[in-house]
Amino acid sequence: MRLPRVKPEHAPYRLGDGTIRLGGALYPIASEITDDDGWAWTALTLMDGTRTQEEIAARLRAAFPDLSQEEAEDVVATLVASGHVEEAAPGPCAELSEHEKERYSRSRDYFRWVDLSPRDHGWEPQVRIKAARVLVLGLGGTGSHAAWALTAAGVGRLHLVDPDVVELSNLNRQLLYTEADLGRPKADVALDRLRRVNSGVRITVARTAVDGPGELARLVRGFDVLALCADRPRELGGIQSWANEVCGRAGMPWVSGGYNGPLVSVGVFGPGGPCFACVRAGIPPRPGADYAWPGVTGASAGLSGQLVAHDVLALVTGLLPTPPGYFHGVTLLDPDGHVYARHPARPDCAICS
Amino acid sequence: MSSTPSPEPPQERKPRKKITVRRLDKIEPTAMTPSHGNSN
Ligand SMILES: [Zn+2]
Repeated sequence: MRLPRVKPEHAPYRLGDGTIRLGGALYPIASEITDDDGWAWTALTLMDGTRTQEEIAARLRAAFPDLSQEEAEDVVATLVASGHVEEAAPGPCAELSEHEKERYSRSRDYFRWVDLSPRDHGWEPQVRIKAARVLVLGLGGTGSHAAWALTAAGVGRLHLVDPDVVELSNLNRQLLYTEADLGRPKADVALDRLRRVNSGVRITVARTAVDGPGELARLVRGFDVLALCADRPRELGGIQSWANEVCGRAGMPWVSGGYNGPLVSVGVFGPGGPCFACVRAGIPPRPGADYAWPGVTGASAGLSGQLVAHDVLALVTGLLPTPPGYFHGVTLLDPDGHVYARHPARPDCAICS
Repeated sequence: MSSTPSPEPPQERKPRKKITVRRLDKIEPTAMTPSHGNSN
């Protein structure tokens, strides 16, 4: 890093006892430094983007003659590696135009905030999003929100698959459709709408139902991630099992989202973690939990679709908080409750082994 | 007779001065500030 600067979102402040807090209060970003002698505070103050690491170390030594050259350099290097510091003299990012940089400036700020890896210019996550090819299956409650969020985020290539037409009862939760679209294929309406949301995304659609693992294997070819937002066929051995088998064999990460009334849950699977079937097998059966009643409002649908999009983006940017192989989500009737399940791979699983 | 090297005289070695960055522990949801911050 040529000219280190403390990230604005991570600005340090001193607690009463001399401890320094960096990165606000958000787990797992925030951190503390015990700074009895004031070295870290002085170094952080010097990290305003106008000095090289060598200059900061030299100033630090001038302020604290007790510190050896090596020790002063080490204090600076520790802070640079902490994730709280960014490059104030960024290298060029040729992959994105100036227009794209303005369009995604808030995304860049977000990634700067949550991404603790030292970066050259900070656009690295957005460049990965632009390079990503994502297949979205299903454009209903979950899929319409997921497809919108992935389009808005600037995913480079999207293919959207849904066999249905827009019905009046869809409009309480399905983001992409209007009254004028009733009777039109969802795939066609989604294409029109999303191209207007972001003309920089290459979007294609298909008005087909996935009828088995063979068809699914054909569809996923050439994509990096599957966003599974379809729920038919629903029964055990249905579309989620097909996705597990096909993506497992292809070594392809996939995210599956859905809701059951107020319960929203999203699964994240891929290389390096247990498969869908293994995680599911670890969840004790709960009588009555499996039947999917149709009742839903925009909140459950939106949350599940947005969480799918979030996890897809986390996978393609390398910012998944934990290895894949888990369900997470929320239940709207219990503000303090959240959904989380992770179970190890079964020793006899053909997909995991 | 083979000579074993005599041990180095004990050096006055001060502990190396360094800083440690500690990530904060997880905060329970109920303990988090209910600040919504920027919402536009
Ligand atoms: Zn498995």
